[in-house]
Amino acid sequence: MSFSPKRKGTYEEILHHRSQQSDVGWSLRSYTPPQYRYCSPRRPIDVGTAVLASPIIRHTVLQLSEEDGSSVERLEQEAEAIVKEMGHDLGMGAIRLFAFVLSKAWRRIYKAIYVNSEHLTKLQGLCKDYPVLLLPSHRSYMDFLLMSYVCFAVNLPVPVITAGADFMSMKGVGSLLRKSGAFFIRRQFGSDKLYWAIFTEYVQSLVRNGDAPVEFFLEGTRSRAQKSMGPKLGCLSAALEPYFKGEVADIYVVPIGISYDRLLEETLYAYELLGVPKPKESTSGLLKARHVLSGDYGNIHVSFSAPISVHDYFRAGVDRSVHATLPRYMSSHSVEEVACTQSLAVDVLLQQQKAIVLSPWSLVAAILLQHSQPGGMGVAERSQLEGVGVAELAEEVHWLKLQLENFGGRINWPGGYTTEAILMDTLTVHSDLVSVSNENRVYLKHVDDVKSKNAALDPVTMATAVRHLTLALYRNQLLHVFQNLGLVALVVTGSQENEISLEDLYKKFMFLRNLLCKDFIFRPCDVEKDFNGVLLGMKHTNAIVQENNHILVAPSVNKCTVFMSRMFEPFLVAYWVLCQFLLTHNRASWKIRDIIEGTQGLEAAMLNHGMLHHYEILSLELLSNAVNGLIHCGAICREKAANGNPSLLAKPFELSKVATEIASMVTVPTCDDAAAYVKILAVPLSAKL
Amino acid sequence: MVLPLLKDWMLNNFNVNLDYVRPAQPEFSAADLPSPVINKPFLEDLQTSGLEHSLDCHDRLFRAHGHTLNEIWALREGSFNRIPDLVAWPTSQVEVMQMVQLANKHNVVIIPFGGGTSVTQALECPSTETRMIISLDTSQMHKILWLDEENLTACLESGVTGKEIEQRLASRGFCLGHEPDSYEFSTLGGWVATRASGMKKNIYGNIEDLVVLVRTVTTRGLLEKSCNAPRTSSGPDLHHAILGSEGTLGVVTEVVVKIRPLPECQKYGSVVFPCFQDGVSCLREVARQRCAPASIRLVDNEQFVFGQALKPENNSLVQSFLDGIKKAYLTRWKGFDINKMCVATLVFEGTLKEVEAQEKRVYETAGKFGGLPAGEENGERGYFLTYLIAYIRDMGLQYGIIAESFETSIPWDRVTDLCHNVKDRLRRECKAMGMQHEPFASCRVTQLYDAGACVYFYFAFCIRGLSDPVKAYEEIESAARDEILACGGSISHHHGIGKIRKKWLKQSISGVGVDVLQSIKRTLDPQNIFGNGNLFDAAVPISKL
Repeated sequence: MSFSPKRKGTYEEILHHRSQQSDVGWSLRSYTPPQYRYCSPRRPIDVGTAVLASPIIRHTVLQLSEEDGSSVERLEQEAEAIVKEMGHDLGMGAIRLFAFVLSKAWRRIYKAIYVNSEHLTKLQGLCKDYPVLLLPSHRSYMDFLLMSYVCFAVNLPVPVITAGADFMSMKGVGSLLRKSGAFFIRRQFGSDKLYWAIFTEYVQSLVRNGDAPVEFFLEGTRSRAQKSMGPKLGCLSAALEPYFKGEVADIYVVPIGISYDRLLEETLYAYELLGVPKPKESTSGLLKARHVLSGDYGNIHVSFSAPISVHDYFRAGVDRSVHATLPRYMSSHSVEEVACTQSLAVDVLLQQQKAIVLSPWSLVAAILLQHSQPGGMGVAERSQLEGVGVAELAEEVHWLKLQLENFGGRINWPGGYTTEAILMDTLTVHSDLVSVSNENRVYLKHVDDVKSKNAALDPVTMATAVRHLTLALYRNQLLHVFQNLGLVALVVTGSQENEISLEDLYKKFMFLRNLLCKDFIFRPCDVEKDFNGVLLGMKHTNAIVQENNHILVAPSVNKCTVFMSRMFEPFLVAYWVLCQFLLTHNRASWKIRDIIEGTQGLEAAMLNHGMLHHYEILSLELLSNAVNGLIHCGAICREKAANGNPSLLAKPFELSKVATEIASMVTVPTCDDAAAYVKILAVPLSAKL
Repeated sequence: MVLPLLKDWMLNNFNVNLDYVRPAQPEFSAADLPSPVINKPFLEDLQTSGLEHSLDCHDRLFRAHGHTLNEIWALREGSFNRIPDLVAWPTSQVEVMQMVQLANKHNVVIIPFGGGTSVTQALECPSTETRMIISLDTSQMHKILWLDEENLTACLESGVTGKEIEQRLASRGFCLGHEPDSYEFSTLGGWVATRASGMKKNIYGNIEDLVVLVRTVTTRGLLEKSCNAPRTSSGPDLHHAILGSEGTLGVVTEVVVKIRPLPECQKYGSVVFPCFQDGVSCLREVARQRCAPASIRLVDNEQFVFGQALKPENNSLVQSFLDGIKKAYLTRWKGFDINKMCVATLVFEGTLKEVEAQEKRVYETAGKFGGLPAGEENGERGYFLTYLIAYIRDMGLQYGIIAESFETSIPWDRVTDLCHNVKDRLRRECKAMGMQHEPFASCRVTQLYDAGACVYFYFAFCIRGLSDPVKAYEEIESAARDEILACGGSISHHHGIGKIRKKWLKQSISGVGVDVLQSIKRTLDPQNIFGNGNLFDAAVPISKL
């Protein structure tokens, strides 16, 4: 039996099924990707030379020299050094070497790499006429090698890729990555004007000349929590500027959703989210990771979305002629251009999500994680102790799969197999996390105790949290499908009335969208459309019952809404604890790190005392999103402290309003209990902070 | 003349079927044309005055249009909503003044008409105009009033055509040197009214550089300066209110222009470049060094290939053989790609020595950008093609091919991008309209300035299967103009605004700018007698409503 055939719908397998069987033959095959029609061919090193000779760099150097008196020569040397540090060195030699080595390595651990072909022909044609930006989702280190590998395999030009400069220091690897097309950007360069100018000119030079597609990750970094993060606009606005200035006729933007049945970094991510320090990227670290190169990692799906024409996208909203009276080297974006870029970025993320093919394991993870029992013990705990029957689990998985499809999710569900067969297959892939007993019961595996920097977190709590978070990573992958549904479900299941008017429902829905805006990707202008859309979907699936302009609560509290609200409950609980933490600690100003660590400690105490049971709320990323969400809602204020550093100001009235609103939807400990625990914690906390 | 290669070119580029022809409709009969609006008191006064005029329907139709695509289309396959109601032929400035006074007295519209070569719908009668419309044809005012050899100036009446000017001046050893592509038909008055530009402006200047004095008859009387001094500082130059006014302020009647002695030597030349960008870089360098010959034009690869298709029949085997050698030399030895190369055509003028020196300098500069001299004949054919193209357009219409040109001016650093982007936009818009075949989209850089260049686009597509080809064309050209402005180009270099580009005027010169023009209009023509509706819609005073 094969779960990974050569062709599935529009998807084709590229790792195991090739016309050329030998890897040597394949990696040395004739490869003639389409080339941009106005590209004047140049070596990678010429890009750097062109950047240094460009008007913008010359002017920036002169301007900086005038501003702070440093000599032009010194600035020029600095610029040269930056370009050298940044530059890619893309060459077919390295690409072919990678193609060969990765084929060997991946064939041992992956059953299949699927690539959807529906847009590829169009994309190949577009590569000839316009510069192209490849924008994949970013959830694993592998993404970037994978993308180049896929491009090589399907005869697309191999991209140049913006990579974080932290990779650069890895001995040997840095130069190998450069040769495969990476160029390196420092993570933080704030107000360094020269660096900024070189970075934008470097990207723009590549876009203008169309040497190769430019690939970067809109989210800026890997999404460790496995759900999309808000876009970082730096790279995108730099890459779009040649269009705004009329230097190219159009640019095509290609959202790409990449999904892995099993992540190479799954435990690493769980640790990182809990704040166990991330090992610095080092060559030896990578070599240690070699043990992962055996085992079963299932399938990879790479889904290209329909390419988006920037020209068509911006046509109505942007007047490019505003740049006509300034020299071209002067960088400026009009207000409309900034707004449209932001909107495009969000759309690209949404398209990535839509394209992503989910693994059945996401369903399993979602089910194992929740269904909290009144006693506070979830399936996660039960499945560690007494296990869950395979048949019972299969039934749940099947139900959730139907919901997923009803609300537009895509799942890798090979035809012709029973749910149980598919379940067993995915359980095998994840045998590091779960085991199946002879009695056909599924058990979660034990995790060793974990030590944390945060003294408030004991090793046993951390171990449980690691187990929960590892599951949550996979559950998170499907949340975007249900994000609007979940919010409606939270309001409906939390209601104490017999019915809710649509107007009230909408208000609460809006409240949740605003609050959770950093945890999920919403288009602010689509709130009404999304609301109506999800209500219609829920009515059609009988998830809610509507009469006139009211939702009848009793029949609307059902398996679907309960399941969905519980799936999103942990987020609100974390936000609630954060509010409580701030409300019970009276401080003039906060640093974001202190809020997050303090809240994490409070959560740990509450979990230990059985007041809460969602261990995933200990995730630092979740807490950071919570702070930013509360800033967005106006419950926390950003301000500048006396010493000029940014600091945060808690607004008690707004915070307690948010907390009360949350408490009306999900079960939280009473405020008195919470206050009691804060007191218990008060001494060590303030000592630490 | 026979053009044996043209057929193949058309088949390749448009996939046309030569059996498919769209013959022009038979000539309009009087009944097909809108009946004239007659202002009786005016007509009576006019008849008493003895000024020459006509109510004949073909006289009126002939002056109802220029050469804009939709006007030609209306002649061939469509109809006219509104045409002039009467044609008048004044023979002197005095008669023009009489006409204007009569029109002003009876509230009758005057549309000045010169050579009829407008390509902006400037001659089209506004379809909403309810008053009587007079077409004031200046063709009977074609005298050279005087010639001043000492100061190298001449006073000409405005109705004289370019060709006539050059012929008559040449007989006395002089030239004007203003040669727009339309110069066989277009008139001095029309040049002033549109801010025309001539091929050889590098030596002689554009029309605004050539005029010393302009006389314009307005409803308020004659607008003129008091002397023939070469330059004055006396407030904003009122010539510039008239230059480019497109017949909205009055009738240009007499112009004093600068003239030059005939050049001793004129020589064509040409240079081939490996690609368009190289050609543009070379032109930019020539402009930087200010060593441009009388004319220098760079045509892109599409037009270069098209030019090859227009080679006249040539039976001489030797000649074809030579052509073959040249091609092999270029492509094999010099590495030119026949699908990328482009050609610059040149005109040199001056004394023999000057021309020699110019040639040397230009070819040397071209060499730095990979350019190779490609002979006089190729250069001459390039210029000949310019005149031919209007005729070829009419032939194309026969076979269902619509062709039109438009132009712009733009700073140097944006020239290449503009060319790429606009051509891309043309191809895309055609595709979006469901056209099966890519259009012919081509451009050439025709004028060099210190700060930029003039770029000319040619554009043709096959109209089979389109329900409203003219509308399709207008939408495509409009999209292309948006693209031009987005790239930093101007609304027009020398064709003007007319009616087709009115919608971009405010964006181009600001709201305040339009107000300034409005107030000039209000002062010179409060009743909107010169109501051709070009440039902008004149704000009619409330008292008149």
